[in-house]
Amino acid sequence: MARFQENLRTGSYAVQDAVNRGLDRVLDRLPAPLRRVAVMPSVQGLAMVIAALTILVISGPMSYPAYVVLLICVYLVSVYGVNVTIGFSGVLSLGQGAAFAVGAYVAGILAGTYMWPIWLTLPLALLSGVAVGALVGLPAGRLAALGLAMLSLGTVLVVSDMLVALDDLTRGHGGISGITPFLSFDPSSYVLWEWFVPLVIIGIAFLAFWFHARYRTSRIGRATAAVRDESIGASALGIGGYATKVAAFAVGSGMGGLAGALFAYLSVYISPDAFLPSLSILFLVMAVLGGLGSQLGPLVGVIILVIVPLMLAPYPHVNIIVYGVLLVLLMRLRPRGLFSRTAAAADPVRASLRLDDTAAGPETAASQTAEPAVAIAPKNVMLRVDDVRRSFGGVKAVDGVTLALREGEILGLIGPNGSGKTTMLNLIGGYYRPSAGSVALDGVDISRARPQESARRGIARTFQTPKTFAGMSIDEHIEIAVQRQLDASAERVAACRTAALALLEAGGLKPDDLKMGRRESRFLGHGQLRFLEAAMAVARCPKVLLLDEPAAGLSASEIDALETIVKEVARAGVAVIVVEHHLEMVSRLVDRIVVLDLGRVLWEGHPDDLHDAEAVRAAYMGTV
Amino acid sequence: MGSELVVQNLTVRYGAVVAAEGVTFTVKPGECVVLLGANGAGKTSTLHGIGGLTPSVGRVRLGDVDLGHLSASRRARAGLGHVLEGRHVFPDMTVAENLDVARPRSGSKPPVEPLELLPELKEHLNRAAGRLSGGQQQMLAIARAVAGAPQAIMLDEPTNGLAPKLVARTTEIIATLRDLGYAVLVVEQRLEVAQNLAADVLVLRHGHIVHEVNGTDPELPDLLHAAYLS
Amino acid sequence: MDQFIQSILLPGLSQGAIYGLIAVAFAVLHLTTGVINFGHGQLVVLAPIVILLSAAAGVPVWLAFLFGFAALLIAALVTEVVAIRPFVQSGSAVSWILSTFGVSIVLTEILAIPAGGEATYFPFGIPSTPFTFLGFRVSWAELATLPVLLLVAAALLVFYRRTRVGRELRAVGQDVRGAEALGISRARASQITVLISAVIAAITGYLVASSQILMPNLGIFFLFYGFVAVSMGGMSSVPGAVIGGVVVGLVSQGAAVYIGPLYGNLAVFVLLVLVYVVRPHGIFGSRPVREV
Repeated sequence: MARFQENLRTGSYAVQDAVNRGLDRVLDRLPAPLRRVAVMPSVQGLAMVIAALTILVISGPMSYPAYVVLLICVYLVSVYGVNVTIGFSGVLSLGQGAAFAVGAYVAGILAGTYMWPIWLTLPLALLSGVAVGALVGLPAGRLAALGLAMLSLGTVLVVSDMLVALDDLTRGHGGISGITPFLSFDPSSYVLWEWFVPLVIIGIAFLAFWFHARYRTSRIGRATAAVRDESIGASALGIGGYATKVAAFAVGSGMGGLAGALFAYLSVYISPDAFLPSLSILFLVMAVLGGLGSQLGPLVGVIILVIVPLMLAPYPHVNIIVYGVLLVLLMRLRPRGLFSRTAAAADPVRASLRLDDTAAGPETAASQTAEPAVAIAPKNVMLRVDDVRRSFGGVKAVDGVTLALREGEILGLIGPNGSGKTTMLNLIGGYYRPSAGSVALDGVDISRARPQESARRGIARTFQTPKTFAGMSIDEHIEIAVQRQLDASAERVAACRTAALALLEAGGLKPDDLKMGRRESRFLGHGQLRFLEAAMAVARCPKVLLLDEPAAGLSASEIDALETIVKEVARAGVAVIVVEHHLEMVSRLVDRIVVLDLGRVLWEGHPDDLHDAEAVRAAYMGTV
Repeated sequence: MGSELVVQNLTVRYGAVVAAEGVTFTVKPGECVVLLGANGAGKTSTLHGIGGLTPSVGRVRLGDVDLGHLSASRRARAGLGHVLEGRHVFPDMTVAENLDVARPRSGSKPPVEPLELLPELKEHLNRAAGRLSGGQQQMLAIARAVAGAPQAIMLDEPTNGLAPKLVARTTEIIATLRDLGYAVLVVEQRLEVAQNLAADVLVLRHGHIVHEVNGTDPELPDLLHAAYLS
Repeated sequence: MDQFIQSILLPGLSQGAIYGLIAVAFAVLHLTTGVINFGHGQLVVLAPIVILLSAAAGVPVWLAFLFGFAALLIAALVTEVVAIRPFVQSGSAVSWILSTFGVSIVLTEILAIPAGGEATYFPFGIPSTPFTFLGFRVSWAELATLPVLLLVAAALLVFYRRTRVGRELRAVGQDVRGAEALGISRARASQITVLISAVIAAITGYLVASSQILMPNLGIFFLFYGFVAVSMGGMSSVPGAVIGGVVVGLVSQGAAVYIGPLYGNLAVFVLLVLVYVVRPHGIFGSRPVREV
């Protein structure tokens, strides 16, 4: 049975890959300018608008097919909002229906009861949605998926109750009718033209589609996706996560509120019965079915889940049963939904690194190597670790370690498993707080700093398992890193960027292959991900670079390339700590070795002296 | 008392990465075999494949029982004791509870009670296992495996993070297990463990067994050195 | 004071015990699998509704009870296989949240088809006719809930501390790999745990049906209240769930009386926010150590 499910799953992804490849081939046949235009969200959105308008023109703006199309448009706005909240940020919200209801009632009350103009009610509905989202997002931002899910579920219950309870405002179960568009506060300014509301709805659907795409490629949008895919990796780049989550909640709910207002105008009459918890479920399933995080997914999800239930309309409960079954099946068989392409467009790698002019590369590199005199002059101490201690339960992982690292110095940190090497890196990077002692970066105490704060101050690192972002493309990775580049001299930045490019090449990531640059990193091999992660860290031009077992799983030639590049990076002034088991590589690469055992420094000295040290041999014996 | 553990042509894959390939060896009761190798050489992957924690292809047989299609917990019940890397004691349960939960439901008892083997645990019976030191947790993990009355015992890097005195004690315990008749398979980083046990050593490199020597062989350190640095 | 006892304390404790039972079931499931079953609320009302439908179809009452219990067990086992077992201690909450949520949706709608989605009265429960006791109006149905909760909690505590199976279930919850290496099957642990929570659901359902009108949206309401209660107590703690349930009952009843009948949900919502702000891991929970 398990095998059958597994086959079903891989089979469906294989079919989708084939379809994607076919589409790519068609796109490739188009001349370049046409191809660039075809993937622009504004153009795709326009195509959508034309399709909708055509149907409305053919059957008339008040007809049943027109209603279906307009309902699809309204739901689209809401589901794109759901996609921002859940798809982009990974924050599981079960309460889009709450924002939708609030938006509908804000518009309903203002327009239906008080006859406010439409150009005021729509923005206010949007803002009310934002308020709902922000209100829930503020406490929820620090929580795990479960807490967020429950909090959002609670808003649905509360809003349902309030709609009935605050009946002097909402007219309770009686509902509000006469929700018509006005152009000004003058009650006689209502719009009779039957095309008005449909055009507004279609126009806003276009805006939602376009905004959704732009949000994803914006700085905050990329940061949001990074936090979703790998929050630890994101924090290592200086991205905290809280702000992105609150923003995602707020923006997504805002779109829900706006959609609710559109629904109110479309339906002209609203009552609490139109806003049951099942609406939240519907939005959720539409987003999940289409593919969370993709651009076209919500469109497909909405269309399928509006048309199919209409066909099932004679059987009222079967609808919802179908949604439930779909959810369960999707989670088991195809959690990524129909459209699993989650990467967004980004500048190609060379452009991001501003190394388009390849002639610039070798020159800067040459100017670096032509300055041996710089290496001799004493440099500042960049990182000072002072008698640091840390325990976990009864286990003393780090038991009083002191070290100092200078600019441009490469330090090797070695020791048997369990000696505290990775814990040291985590203490320096801010993932653990020392129970005693201090860590200072360029004179600033970062002992109590959180990982993203340490990262922003100048620490970059790689991890034993590469913390890259599975749903984002290579181009996006480099763009995120470059956007978070730290302050440094122009020469140093150029050297770092050249090194980053070299890392991509060494890892087989082919900076000149634009198609590869656009693919999601989940398709890359382990070794390639290592180099991608390292390229991100180096591209930021950090003060201190921490490499955690960078050679693990790499071939001899890859290790050679890595060594060369790390040396270049150090020459540019970056202080480097390498944790490794591969003793020969470490001996060739580093200026100084520190041996840890049982959380303490066992020996410190020049690599050449390592094999002679008695103490090292005694503790380390055989662990070559 | 114990049964032999036979591994034939074991291959362990993680997606496209081949962690171990074509691994073949036998551990007889009363014998100890040590797998040595650098990090990433495939030692733990091999153990996980034998233990059923990772899917693998190839034959794994314990005595008369073919373990191939059994889940990890079924293999354990069939007599394959497994001391995982990183101990994995149950932190909010006492030492006594940890041991109790490890006993076979059938009621069969091991030839030597775990507390006789590791008397240093006796004074901690009512302490939460999460509060023990690293070394004590390691002792508990071994005691638990013994409590299950297994036919063979596998230990994954049992001396990880232990002080030299405790390394010696662990080596002593492993030797006792071997002498009691268990088939013992150990994955290690420290050469001295293999040397002190005078065990049969299999050196792994990039997922393959490249050398098979005895622990006391004077060539071993050099062979190991060469295998690590590739 | 008398007014307080009559209108807030007694109903609050009585209802709170129901929330406590739901919370205890959550705690039990979470303790071993790390999962919260979003369909549990539906499981609670499933048995009473099936009993009603069977009785309405002419089946003798004792058989109807059997049907109800059987339906509950089947639903629980199906949920376990489909929506829980694949995700035991898996760390990815989104998958099991949506799965169990999906199952709850299906159950809700399946029940709504024959039951018509209207409020119904359960005539086979503990008598709910009020009588006077020490000057207060009470009914057996109301009085029964708190003692039952305490009994169930005590039985569970003994089970988890003293029996072999109970210890195995705790072990799986603390380190699923370590447990498997000792021969404890993850699948069997998840099944047993779901069955225990199903039995608790049966008891809860009977008490609920006895003391109040069965409404279609009860499921989601119990889900939320039970969750707030278990979050307050610590996600895997049975004693915490008991305390949490009682607090939620008192708070929601207090809000309903002092502010207005529809403000109970709001008060409980605010309570959840407070829990998350002040002590996210609950009274008896422990802060998780993050692996990097």
